[in-house]
This record gives sequence, C-alpha cells and structure tokens, in this order.
Amino acid sequence: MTEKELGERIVLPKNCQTIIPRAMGLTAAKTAPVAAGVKKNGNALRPPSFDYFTQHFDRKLSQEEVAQLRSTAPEFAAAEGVLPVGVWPGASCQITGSPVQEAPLTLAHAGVQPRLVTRWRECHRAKSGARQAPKIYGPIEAEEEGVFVSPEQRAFFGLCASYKDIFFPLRPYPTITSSLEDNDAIMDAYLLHCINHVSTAATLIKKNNEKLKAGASNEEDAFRDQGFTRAKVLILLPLRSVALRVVSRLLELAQKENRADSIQNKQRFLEDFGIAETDDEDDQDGGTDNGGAKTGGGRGGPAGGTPAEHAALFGGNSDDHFRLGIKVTRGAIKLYSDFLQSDIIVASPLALTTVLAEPPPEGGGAPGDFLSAIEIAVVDRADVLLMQNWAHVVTVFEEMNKTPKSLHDSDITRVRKHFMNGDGPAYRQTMVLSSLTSAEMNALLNRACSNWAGRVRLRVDHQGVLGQVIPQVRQMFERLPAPTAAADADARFEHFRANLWPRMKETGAKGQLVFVSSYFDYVRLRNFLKEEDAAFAGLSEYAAPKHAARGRSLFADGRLPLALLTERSHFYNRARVRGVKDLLFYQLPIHSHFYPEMVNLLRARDESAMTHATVSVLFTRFDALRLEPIVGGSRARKMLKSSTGTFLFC
Amino acid sequence: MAISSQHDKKDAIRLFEKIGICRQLAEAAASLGWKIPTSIQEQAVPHLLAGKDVIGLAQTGSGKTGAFAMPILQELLDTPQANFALVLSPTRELALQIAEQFEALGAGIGVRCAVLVGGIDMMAQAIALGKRPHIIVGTPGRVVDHLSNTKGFTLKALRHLVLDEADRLLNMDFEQEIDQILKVIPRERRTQLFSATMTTKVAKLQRACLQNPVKVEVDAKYRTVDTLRQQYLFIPAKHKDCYLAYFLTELAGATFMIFTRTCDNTRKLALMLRNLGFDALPIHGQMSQPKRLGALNKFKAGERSILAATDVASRGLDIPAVDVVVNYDVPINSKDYVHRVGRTARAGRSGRSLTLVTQYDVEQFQKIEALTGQKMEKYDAEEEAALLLLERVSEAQKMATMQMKEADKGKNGKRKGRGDADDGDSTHEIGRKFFKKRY
Repeated sequence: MTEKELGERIVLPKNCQTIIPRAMGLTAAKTAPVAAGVKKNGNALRPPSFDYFTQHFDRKLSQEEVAQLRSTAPEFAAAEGVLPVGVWPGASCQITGSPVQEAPLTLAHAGVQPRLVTRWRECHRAKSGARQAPKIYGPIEAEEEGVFVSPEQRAFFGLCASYKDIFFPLRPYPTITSSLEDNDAIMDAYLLHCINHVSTAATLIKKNNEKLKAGASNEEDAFRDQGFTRAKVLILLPLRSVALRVVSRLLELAQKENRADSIQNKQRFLEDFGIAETDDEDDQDGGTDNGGAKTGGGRGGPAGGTPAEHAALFGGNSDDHFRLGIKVTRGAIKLYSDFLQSDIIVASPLALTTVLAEPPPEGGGAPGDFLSAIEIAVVDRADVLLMQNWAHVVTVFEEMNKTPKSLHDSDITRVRKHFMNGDGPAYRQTMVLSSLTSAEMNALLNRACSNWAGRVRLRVDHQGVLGQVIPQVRQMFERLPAPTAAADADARFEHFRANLWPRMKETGAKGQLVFVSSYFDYVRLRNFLKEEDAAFAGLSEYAAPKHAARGRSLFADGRLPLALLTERSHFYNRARVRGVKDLLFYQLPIHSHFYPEMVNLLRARDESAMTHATVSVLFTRFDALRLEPIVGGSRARKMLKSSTGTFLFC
Repeated sequence: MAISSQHDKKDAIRLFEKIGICRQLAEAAASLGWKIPTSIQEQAVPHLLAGKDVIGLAQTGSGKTGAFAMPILQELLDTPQANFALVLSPTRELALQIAEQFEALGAGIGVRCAVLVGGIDMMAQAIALGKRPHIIVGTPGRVVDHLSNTKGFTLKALRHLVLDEADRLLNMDFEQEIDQILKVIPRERRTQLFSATMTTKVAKLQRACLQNPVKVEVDAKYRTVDTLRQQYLFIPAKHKDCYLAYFLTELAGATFMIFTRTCDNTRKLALMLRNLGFDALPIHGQMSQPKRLGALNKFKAGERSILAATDVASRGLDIPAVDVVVNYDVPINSKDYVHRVGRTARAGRSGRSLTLVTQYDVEQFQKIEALTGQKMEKYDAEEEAALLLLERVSEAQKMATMQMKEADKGKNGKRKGRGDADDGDSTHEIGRKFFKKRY
C-alpha cells in the first residue's frame, strides 16, 4: 500500500513512533470509485490513484515533531528521477522529507475530483480544437481521465499534489501581452491543484455533515475536517493584470458558465482588474498614448520600446493594491465574497498588509483571522514582489495560520486538531514561483514555512548571460572580503569610499554610471556623495519622473559626470541612460538579464571610445545567487573560491 | 528520612484505598502530600462511589475538593468520556483552584480540564473545550456564555454536576445562570452540593434536582477551627484605621488578610497602608481578572504580606501562609465570618483573627458569636500607643483619598458603587475634624 510506505519512510526523531494516517477507511472509500473507473478503461495494471489530501492532513504530529520542524534547518537530498528526462533541461531537484512519488499519469490518477477532470477536458478541447492529446505515457486511452498538456505540467502537478513546499525558480517573465490567450501550463497546474484542494475539502465536509445528520456519534475525533475559518488557499500576486490572468483561468477551470449566475460579480471583476481608465502611475514618463494601452508598447519608456517582458508585465492594470475573496460552492462561484466566507483569497501582499493593520472588527476577533486556516499558499511572480516590497510578503506569512482571536461561528468539534494546537503552519503547503532565486525567497521558505511533508527545491545550472553582451569591453569582477552577511554592505561601501571614489574624483571623467541594486545602498552612496559635494544624477525609483528625465539628459550631455541608477528604477522604467562611458556595478542585479542590458548601454556611437570603456563589478561571497546566473554556475563557483580576487572577461 | 517518607506514603496509599479509592488515584493523592483522608473525604467518598447524590457540609480547608474530585476521576477511569463532569463555583479564583486540584490528581491518568471563568479570553477557553476535556470547571456566567456562543459545545453527555460553595450558587445572584445550565444538562446525572455553610431552605435545594441525596456533615455547627485564636477589639469608628495600623505594626512579619465590606474600602485601605509603608495589595471584584490573579499570586508567593480583600476572596481560596485574618468591617452575613476566618489556621495549623468592632457593629458581632457558639477574647491594645499613630494615619488617609480621586478621573460615572466611596470620604472628614480639634 502506497500510503503505508510513505508514512514509514518519513525521517522522524528517534523517540517518536511513526503514525500511519488514521483514516485508512476513508482513503479506501475515496479511491474506490476511481478504481472502478480504471477497470472500465480496461487497464487493471495501473497503480491505484493517490489520495494525497487525506495522507497529508490526517497525519498526526506530536508536539516534539512540530517543534523540530520549526527549529531545525531542512536537509536537502538530491532527488533523481523526479523530473522526467527532457523536462527543464539544466534543472536539478532537491527535496526534504519523504521521497516524491512518480508523477501521476492523468488527472484522475492524481486523485483530482471527477467534476474537475471533466471541466479540464472541456477547457482544453475548446482551446486547442483539433490538437491531439499528447502521449504522455503508454497505450492507455487517457483522454477521458484528463491529460496534462506537457511533461513539464505533469511533473509540476505531481509536485503540487504531493503537498510538499515548492520553490520553483524556473518561471520566466511573461512575454505575451494579451493575458487571456496565453496558455500557461505551470499556472494551470497550480490552479488545478488549488481548486481540487478546495473541492476535496468541501466534499469531505459535506460527507461528514451527512453522516452526522444521519445520527453518527460525534464523540470521537473522526469528523474534524475544517479550520476555524473558511479560507484554505491564498494566492499572492504582484499586479492586478497578473491577478486578472490568474483568476480568469481559475474560474475557467473551476466552473462551467452554464447559467447567468454561475459566476457572481464577474462583470465587476473584469472592470476592476482590466485596464484602468485613468492610469496615474509614476512609471510612464511622458509617453504618448498613440498605440493604445493594450499593446503596452506605446506606453512611455525609451525609444525603441521596452523589452517584451516589461511590456507584458506593465501592459495591463499595474495597480498593486487589490484583494479578492472567492467563494466556491457546488454550482456557482462568488467573487468579492467576504474573506471569512471565502475559499480562495487572491491578493497583493500590500493589500493584505493594509487589512492586517486595520483595527479589530466589531464582531470580535482580529483583522487577520481569515488567514488562520490557509492550507495552500501560492506566491506567484515572486520576482516582481521582490521589486515591490518583500517585507509585506513576510508580514503576511507571519500572520498566517495563527489561532484566530474569535471563533467566527466555527464548530469546535469539527476544527482540526492541528489548528487547535496552533500547529497550522506544519500542514501548510507553500509554493514560491519566480524567474530567479534570491536570498529573500530562500529565507521565507526556511523561516516561515515548516511543512511536515518537506520541500522540493529546483535548482538551475545557469549558463550565464555574458554571451548576450554585445560591445567588446573589459568586464572586471572584483571580489571583496566580507566576513559576514551583515558586514557585506559595509565592505562594499568602504571599498567604494577608500579605493574607487578617490580615483573617480581625480580623473573627473564623464559618463560614469553606478548601478546599485539595493535602495539602502543607494541612499548611503547618495549621502556620501552629497557630503563630498559631488555632482551626480540620482536615478532611483523614488525620483520624480521629471527629475529623473532631467538627470538622465544632463548626464548624457556630460554636464553631470556621475549617475546612480537603482535596480528597481530600471525594473519599472527601463529608461535608457545615454552617454555611459564607465559602468560600475556596485552590486550585481538580482535580475540577471539586466547585466547585459546595462553593459549594452556602452555601445557608443563611435567605436573608438569603446576601447576605453570599463565595466567593473563588485561582489562578495554572499552574492553567489546573483553571480551564478550572470557568469554561469561553474565559473561562479571558481570565482567565489579562488585565491585571486579579480577576474577579467573580455 | 527518605525511608520514613516512603513509609508515610505507603500508609497514605493504604488509607485512601481503604475508603474505596483505586490504587492509581490513591498514589496520586499520596504524592500530593495528603497523609490521611480527611473526615469529609472519609464520609463522602463511599457514598459517591456507591452512586449517590451527596450534600457535603464541611468547614473550609477540610479537603472538600478532594472529596468530590477523587470519586469523579475514578468513575472517569472506568468510563472515559468527554464533558464528563461540570464543577461550578461562585468565584473565578476558586474555579481555577479546583481545576488545579483535578489536574494534580489526574495527572497520571491524563485527565483534561477546561476552566471557564470570566475575565479571560473566550477563544482560548473555546479551544480548550474543542479538545474535549473530561472535566469542566467554571463560574456559572461564563459557562452559560459558552453554551450559547461556542458552537459545538454541549453538556448533553454530562454525568456529574458539582456545585461547590453551593449555598452561594443557589442564591439569587446566580439564579438565572444556574437555571439555564440545569435546562441543558441531562436529568440522568449525579448532582453533588458542597459547602461550608448550607442553606436550609428546601425550595432552594430542590432546584438542584438532587435525587435521594445523602447528607454528609462533618460538623453541624458553624464552628471555626480549634487552632484559631479569635479576638476582637472594641474601638470608636473614627479610630479604626489607627488601631489597624497599630495592630499591623505589633504583629509585623506575619501575613495578613484584611476583609472589608466594599471594593472602594479595599482600594482605599490598601492605598492608605501603602502610604504608611506597609506592603499591601488590594483584591476586589472591580479589578480585572489578570490583575486579581496577579495580586493573589504575589501574595501567595510571599512577595507581599498584606492582602486587603472584599468577600470575593473569603471563600474556598487556599493560601497556605495566612497568619492573621483581620475583619476591618464586621461581616453583615454572619456565615461570611466563618468563611473569612477560614482563610487562616488551615489544615491543622494555628492562626489568629481580629475583628474590629465599632459602636455600630455590636449587634452584628453578637450574632456572629451566637452562630459560632464561641466567645471571642478581647485583644488588649494600648490606647496611648495606638493614638500616637493618629497623625501619620490621617495623613496617609488624606493621601489615599487623593490618589483614588486621581485614579478615578475620567472614568466617572462608569464605575459602580459610587455611594460606597462617598461613605468612605465622610468617615475621613470626621477624622480630619478631630485632628483639627486636638491642635
């Protein structure tokens, strides 16, 4: 029996005995109809479908185990064979906890509710028209059970369904602007998992209600099937445009619109999350609106348009303050439902933080009570969230799974034991999806997540982006000694103050651009330069567009010899700085593709100037995560370890 | 030493087993340091184990809690069940103390207790209820609150109802709450009433729906313990504070509980004593629950030696180290006197009490003497020495009045018992006039 094996293989402290999921009866009951379906298909050899839900949430953890989960750092082991051959080439997978089973063959095989399988089929048939069902496996006629559209999707869904935490840094920025057309296989997978979770939980509650109504004794703890509050899934997203895409797809996968009120408040949703009529964002610096907002190319920015990924991201409604409760019932979905009555909450971290800071509601309880029973937390486009305010993400995670301050009418005999004990975090699955790996994301998963099922971490072996650098310039990488992560910023600043700045001041050369990744470093440099009475253009994300534009033009003309540019300001504006002759990366960008973008600014009008141009990069051993995607994994390892501290690329 | 204590323990276990307590619980009782079953335990436990309803009358500190806790736990051992017993008590502190006893006795058998008292977060209590406790201990008001507001909490399977300090619970104060609780618990249950003093009104007792109860009386009279030295001091009302200060100085080093009639008096008294340099703490019904518990714990831990209290602290509380009880105001209800002085001389120790009797209290005082059937001895105070303190005491009174006014600023009208405070002020006025005359 698969469940049994899993239960026993989990690494536990020595003195704890292994507890095999108690509700084996339930498990059997649940698998039965699916198994029957398999028989009808004429394939008896296939393994029975999984019941990850029961397996994950009926696990009983002792106090010691929970404490252990919270206190000890996870130990990762390389997992072979989790990723099928050819899926995400260059990526490797590491896991903690029990080994991941082989990805399910079909949706039904993964234990997805039959209703959702049907809906999945309808969605994909409508979309792809005549497209052939891809043959993921053997000779089985799988169409009926719902197939995955790609091996990547199948692998990813397998990870989702295992209820392990997932760190997935392989999610590139979208490049297609029109949000609804794009088929995003990874997003589909996690959405399906979320919907399936909600609907499985609802089915269980309904079944138990019926049993209790039929007179079953509620003496034992057999009917504990819910949290103090209703919301089970939280999806954190950076922008309204992204939310529009996610929620639209979620509705599509969850509910067939066969009645007018199948999805309540849909019109309001489309109005709120679609293109805003008055866009008062700071990030468009005087762009003409000739192209219309839909293509995104017409919005401001430098001549020649912004990169496709920037246009796709900011093309729609780029408001970052939104929250939306979604209540899923059997035949209908209600948008804009009260958070305490919602199953799924889609929100930006900023909007949730504002709710959390509100005074306690009148009916008693705390403002953050609706987060108490979250069982799946998805952080999609974490890379964009990183460019917004990561502190809000951390705040939201800190508030999650706390015991609420009021009962909110929940039946205390039905609330799961782990919520009563305040052990909710040990059962929450967290997924972080991003295009890059950053220290902040790692920290979030290490500190705020303590899922007993462990974690899956994908790692990418980067090839580096140096090949995308067009001009022939010498790029000098200099490693600074920094004893601790805390001393990292000081080491950088000290090096700049003592070694770099005197030289820059002495030569008085024009066109010196300093790229600063963090705003804190920017402030430090700015204050230092002010003290030194140096003339410079401050191009930070907080600079008014007018001032930034003026600064850029003065810098291009050579009237200001120095400019400071922050990564965020580049991320949001992508304004092209002209007249750059020397480039200093005070710290490497988090977004590796900004490196070639910046270096390519050196393409001067006449080739002769090129020979003098220099690019220097400061890095410390704490910059490994930034260095790897830029210079490539193997080179980065060498650069971090070798005895010499300077490296030259031509 | 070790051997003898081993021996004692074995003896204790044997004695407890003799009255019908099973081995496990007898061991638990012995490890709590109980040497022999007290007389109430000896008499009540066999009836309880036989499945009868019991009315238990015994003076305070005589092991009443143990008398009903052990049989209940024993029955629970045979038929484990959630929400098995409900113990009601009139005060929050007493409820907490009963729960502690249950937990201590039941630690070995894994008994779960929930305490439902006011002034403490409902949510934490609801969670405790959700964990299916075996024993629920609480004050009636909060229990009713949970019955109506906490979804999923029912007492439909209740087997035991215990009313501790039953005469007070059956009083008018708790009438509504008790009625509501009685309505939702099954008729097929066992009911126990325990108290030091018991009402004789049959109508009241019938409300509790006892079935052929056995009455167990350890002592028929409202007797006070023999090891208690009871004294009185007959003084003019205007010199009350002065004599109190004198008495406290005379017995410096001992721990005192001073009982007053009203919350305001308690506050004022504590402030005044502090101004005089005594480490006094107030405890009364207008304090928030955490503060009440905090004060009690400080006093229990010996950080403070004087506790000024209203009758909220007069019943059931087991504070091991009270040396002297002072009745600053003579209790209106004579039975309260028995409860008050029951705070000292507990469990065989000696103790003393002093009752300050003024010209207005003579009749009440005589009633008390009639009830206890004992004549109190007169406390010999040196008038000269006492009145030497007058100046300092009235200074301290003045300061205390100011401090109270200061503290009450802004919450005028919200507070109850305004009239009581006025009373206090007027006595204070008299004192000041007297003060002026002399100089």
